[in-house]
Amino acid sequence: MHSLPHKKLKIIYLFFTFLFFTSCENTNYPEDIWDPDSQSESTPTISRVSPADSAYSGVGEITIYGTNFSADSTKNHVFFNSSKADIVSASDTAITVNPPALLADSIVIKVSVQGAYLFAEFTPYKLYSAIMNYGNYDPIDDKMWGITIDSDENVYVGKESFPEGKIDKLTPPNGDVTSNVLTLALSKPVSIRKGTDGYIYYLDGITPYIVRNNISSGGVSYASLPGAAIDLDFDENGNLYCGGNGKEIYRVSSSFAVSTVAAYDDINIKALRVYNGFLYVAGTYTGQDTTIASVGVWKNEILSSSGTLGEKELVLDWASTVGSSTNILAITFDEDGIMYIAPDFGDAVTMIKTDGSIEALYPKILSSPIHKLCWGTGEYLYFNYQGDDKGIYRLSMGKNGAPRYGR
Amino acid sequence: MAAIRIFVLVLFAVKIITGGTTGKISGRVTDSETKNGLPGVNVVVSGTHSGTATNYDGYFTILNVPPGQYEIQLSSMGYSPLVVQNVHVVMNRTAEFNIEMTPEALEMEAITVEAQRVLVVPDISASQTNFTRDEIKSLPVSRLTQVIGLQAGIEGLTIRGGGQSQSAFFVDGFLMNDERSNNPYTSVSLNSVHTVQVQTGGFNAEYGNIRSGVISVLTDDGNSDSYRGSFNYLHHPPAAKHFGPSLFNENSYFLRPFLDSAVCWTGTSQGSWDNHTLNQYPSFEGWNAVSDATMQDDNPANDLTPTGAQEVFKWQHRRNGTIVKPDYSFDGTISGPLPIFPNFFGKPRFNLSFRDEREQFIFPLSTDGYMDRVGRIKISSNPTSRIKLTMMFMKGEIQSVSPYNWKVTPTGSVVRSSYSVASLLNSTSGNSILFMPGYFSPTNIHRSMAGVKINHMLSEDTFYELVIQSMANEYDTYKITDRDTSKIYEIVTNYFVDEAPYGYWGYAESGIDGSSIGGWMNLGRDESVNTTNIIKLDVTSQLNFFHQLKAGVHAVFNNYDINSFTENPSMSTWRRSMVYEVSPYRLAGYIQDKLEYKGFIANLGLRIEHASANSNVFALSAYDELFKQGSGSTLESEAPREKADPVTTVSPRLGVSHPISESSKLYFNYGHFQSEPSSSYRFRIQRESNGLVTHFGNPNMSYQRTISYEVGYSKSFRNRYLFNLAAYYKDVTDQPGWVYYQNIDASVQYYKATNNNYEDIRGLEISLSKPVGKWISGFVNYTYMVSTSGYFGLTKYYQDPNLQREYEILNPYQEKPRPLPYARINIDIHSPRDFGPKFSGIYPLGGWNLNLLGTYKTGSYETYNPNSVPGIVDNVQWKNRYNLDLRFSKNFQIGTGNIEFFADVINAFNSKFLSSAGFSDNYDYIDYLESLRFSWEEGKEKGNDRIGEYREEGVGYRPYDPIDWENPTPEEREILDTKAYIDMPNIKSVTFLDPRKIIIGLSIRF
Repeated sequence: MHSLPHKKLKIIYLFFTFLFFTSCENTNYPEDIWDPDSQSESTPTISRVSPADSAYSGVGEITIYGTNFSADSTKNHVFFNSSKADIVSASDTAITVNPPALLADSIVIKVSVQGAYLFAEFTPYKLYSAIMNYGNYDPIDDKMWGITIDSDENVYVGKESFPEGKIDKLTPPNGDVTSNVLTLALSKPVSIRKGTDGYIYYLDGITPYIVRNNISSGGVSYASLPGAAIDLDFDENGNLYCGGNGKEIYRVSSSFAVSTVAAYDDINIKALRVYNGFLYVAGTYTGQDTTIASVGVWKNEILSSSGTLGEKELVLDWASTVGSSTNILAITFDEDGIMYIAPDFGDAVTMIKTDGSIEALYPKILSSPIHKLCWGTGEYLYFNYQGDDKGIYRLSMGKNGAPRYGR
Repeated sequence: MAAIRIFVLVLFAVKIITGGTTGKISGRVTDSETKNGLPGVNVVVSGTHSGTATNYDGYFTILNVPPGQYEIQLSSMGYSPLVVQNVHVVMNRTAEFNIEMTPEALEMEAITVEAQRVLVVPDISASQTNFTRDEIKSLPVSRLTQVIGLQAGIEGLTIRGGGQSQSAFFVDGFLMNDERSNNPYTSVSLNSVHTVQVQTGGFNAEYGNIRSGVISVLTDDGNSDSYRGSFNYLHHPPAAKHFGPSLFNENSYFLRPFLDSAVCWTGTSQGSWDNHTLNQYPSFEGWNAVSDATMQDDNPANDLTPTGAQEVFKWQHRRNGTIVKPDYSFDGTISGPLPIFPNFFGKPRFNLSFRDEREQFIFPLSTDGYMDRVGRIKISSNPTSRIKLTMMFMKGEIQSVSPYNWKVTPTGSVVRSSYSVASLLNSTSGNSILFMPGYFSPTNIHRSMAGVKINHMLSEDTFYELVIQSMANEYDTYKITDRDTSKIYEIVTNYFVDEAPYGYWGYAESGIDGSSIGGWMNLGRDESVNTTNIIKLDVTSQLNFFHQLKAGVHAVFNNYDINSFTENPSMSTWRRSMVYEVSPYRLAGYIQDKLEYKGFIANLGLRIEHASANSNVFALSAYDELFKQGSGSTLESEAPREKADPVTTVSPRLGVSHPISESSKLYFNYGHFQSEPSSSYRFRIQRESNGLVTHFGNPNMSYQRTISYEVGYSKSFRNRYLFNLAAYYKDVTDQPGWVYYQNIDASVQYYKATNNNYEDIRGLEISLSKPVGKWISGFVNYTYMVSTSGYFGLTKYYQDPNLQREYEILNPYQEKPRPLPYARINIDIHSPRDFGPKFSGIYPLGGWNLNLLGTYKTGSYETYNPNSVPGIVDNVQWKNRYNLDLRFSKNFQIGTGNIEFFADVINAFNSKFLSSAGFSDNYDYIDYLESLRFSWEEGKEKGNDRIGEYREEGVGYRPYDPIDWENPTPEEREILDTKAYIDMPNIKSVTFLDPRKIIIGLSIRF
């Protein structure tokens, strides 16, 4: 009997223990999201950068070589100081980027890769400008229009002034300005071309005349056009083609005789460019025929040394291609046959590649509207920017333009 | 002596409530042969000093008998002595028995009569419930308020539609209400409880400052010659308090956008989530963008890779609020002769009780749970046979969290339940609330009470009771420990951070994800103290057998030293303050006559109360300049003032009970019940830091008044079952409300307290109980109540007539809620302790108890009117709620001691009921409602849904858009059947609260 309480207690204990354990519930504890022992994936490293040391800002491509990059380009992030670069392609050991529009020395290039806590760093690196304000014109007081370049890379700029327009000469390498090298018969030289004969030819887009001034003597002569013209270009035979609201192509011979060589019914011609045996014509259709491109580039084959042209044919339905109704202000070609089109708004310059694909040219550093595009003798493309900070600019293109006649 | 044991029916009936903490025994002794009353019969309550002799007609009354089971001895020359056993005296009731004595032909042994409990107390004229500790202990509850809340007409401590501030809570006759809000402090050790009495209407004239209920707890007196103890411990192992995934799980609403690789790098709008998933989570710009942003300055030290930024996020969200501590309560009491002085000053006895209860919050705030700790010591003694002296000291502490942030200064309200915490979450600040421990201010409330009660029998017919008590309530809503801003934690190599979001930081700071980790936190402060001193004298005199007169005077002196405010060092305009110090008082006198005639018992009473705010009223016009910013802070010194008007009220009370038969009765009561508005309505002057007055209390407010009518019917069946039916009507007027005033240029805009609210409450309560049974006992009750509320006048006044006109056009309607019936059922199945075979001294089959407690409540109504169609009100209803809790226990008798093990299963069916806490914002709620198919909708949207319908976990969301809604395809039918069309609340972790919970317990008594 003395042991009875112990038996009771034993039973009680077992009962209590049973209840205790059967009452335990699934606590479903989540893991702490903060793990002090968590490990980063391998930190990326940068071994070299190409181009080494420096590159143009905002244009072209830079390739960063190193380790522990991700082949999934979305997992890599590249910064030039605080500016992020666009990744073109990536592999475990190389990332190609379009550099940001940053101008700086001693840039720190940082690469982050998803999963890694730390950046890969490379310094110093330099991004310098691919674009140069050429002539440093006053964006308010100066009114620049046509530009042309001679064989010595001198840039002639047609300036609007009343009653007589002017020609300035900008000399390389810094675009030093020699003002008023010519005084013009027209107040607004919207397009100018230097011929091999020592003359500068120009138009004002409104009056039906083409005028030329001799650079050396300043002597002036002019010829009447059947209609107003806004742009002009030479072919390899010295024929000068003009076009504009006259809706025709006029050929001006080396003897300053004018003839109509092609009809562009209901098309206001905006720009001309001779390339590879053809005259390329950009214009805006004003008629009612919906089968005709509203804005486009046509071309006419140059059939003879006397400047006769073949029938026009459509090269580019601009409105359909870019999906907008912008007007074309200027066209040009590079040595690879890529056509560059400057519209009045949107991307400043669109490249039409030979396979038909399109791409904006240096969108980080160029903006519209650009009125004239003119290649120099080398890798520079000059243009007349008519936006807020208007002026004549020189752009490093890394390639030559297509052959250009006149000069 | 061989006793002759017989059983007779003895009435010990409840008369109309008499107040106090003692009961009364009365009756008539007659000659068994002549049936005439026997004068001079000695009637003695065994073991006490109480006793009397019958009068000329044989009537006797013994006043002032403490509740308990008694043996009554009757003796008279020439008659056989008589012993009546098991006379059950209940607090505030009369145990009545009429008995015959037999002439003594020869010397006989005493005749023993055993009193039987009578269920229908014929002379009770109000709805009243009494229960003892033994009746409580079998229920699957752990707190007294849970027991109270099971009675018909009561939800929580809301009694017949009246909030807890309308009820009085007494422990051993000492008032336990905190008069700052008049809310009762109900913490009491269950083991110390002897009896609890709950009355929901028909209060007699001795009760003032109440309108809805009186809860009286009587604790055990210590025994003068032995020690007794009773302890129990309840333990609930750590477990989630909600269904579904943890809030701290990486897939929770607040974390997934930042951790799910499908979206976290690129941002939610650029990731691979579908639209439905996008709508379920907050938007996030992505770690790539966050990393980019860190690069946009000249400080390379703060540059972070996307993964590095995410690591910082993880650090700043390192708080894992998973519940790791158990809930528990320890409840114990020990009583007996006072050590050291066992024979000094009337054999002093003590009862020392303690209760320590802790519940973890559903997720941690500035503290991780609610703690309630209370200790009491009661010392009783009888310096003389006619005097009983009782002293009580109480100390209690509550630790929790204030749910207010800025607009409301702390009021003393704290959070506790899963819902009260879960509903704090929202889409805008939920991230900070979860992961920044100091978002809400911690709060401690210290309560203490000291009181003395003298009960003095002046004669056999007259006694008085003098109560003097003092209660203090100290509030402390405080600032947590300052943040250590030393950047010493290297989260990623060479990137150092401080301990944020831990610690207090009063200056605006954003986490790496943009969420607030400083400034907007821990704003509430409360340093208020209020004390209540009460002197109460009640005199009871039994004038004759039919009239008991009771009269008394009460004096209550309050001191409110209220200092509640919000504080932030970086933005002074965040500061709001509610400061006042006043010492109002109220004096009351009452008289009541209890008439006890056979078949008709009535109580007539009248209470007169005089109250003074004991402060000044600022005599300001409605749009006075002194309400403006800049001026408001000088209000006390500049405003003209006049003495606040005193308030005098007269409250008649009447109760009548009419027995129809020995087992049935009708009763009726009527009374005026009036109470002071809470102190904040009367004295609050709340200002912003610029002095702009935002709330303006009114010391001249009238008393709130409830005129109550109740009629009831009770009937017992076979003396085992008790049926009760009660119907009541309460006409409530002069309840306080805040009325808005705005002057012409809005430089004055404040709320002023006004007696403008009214309410009409009508209800019906039906209950059936079987209080005692060898194997089964229990109860079932059903409550039907409907109330209409509204306000007199307008709640907004504009000096600008255009605004006033605009407001009046849109003046809200009176609220007329639909009835929301509810019911409870309790079945207690138990085996007698000595049931079955005996094995090793124990009865394996005896002492088992299974208590089932079921509850039901009709779903409430809401208005869903997205198109603002006039006249649409209460057109959607929540699902009805039901629940089953149970307690399973085994009792062991060991010598004179007793051990009981038990297990409570709360929400035994693991039922899921949708909680509005799961909605991240109102848009989320509207999305959910739009996805439901209500009965009043048309076409494909017509259905039978109610709010609370849900799509099961694992059923994917598929909108219901049938081609032909009248002939849905099998696939479309499946969408309906699985409720796949329901757009569930976004915060899934708190959409369903309070899953099944098992609590184990141990109880020891000796």
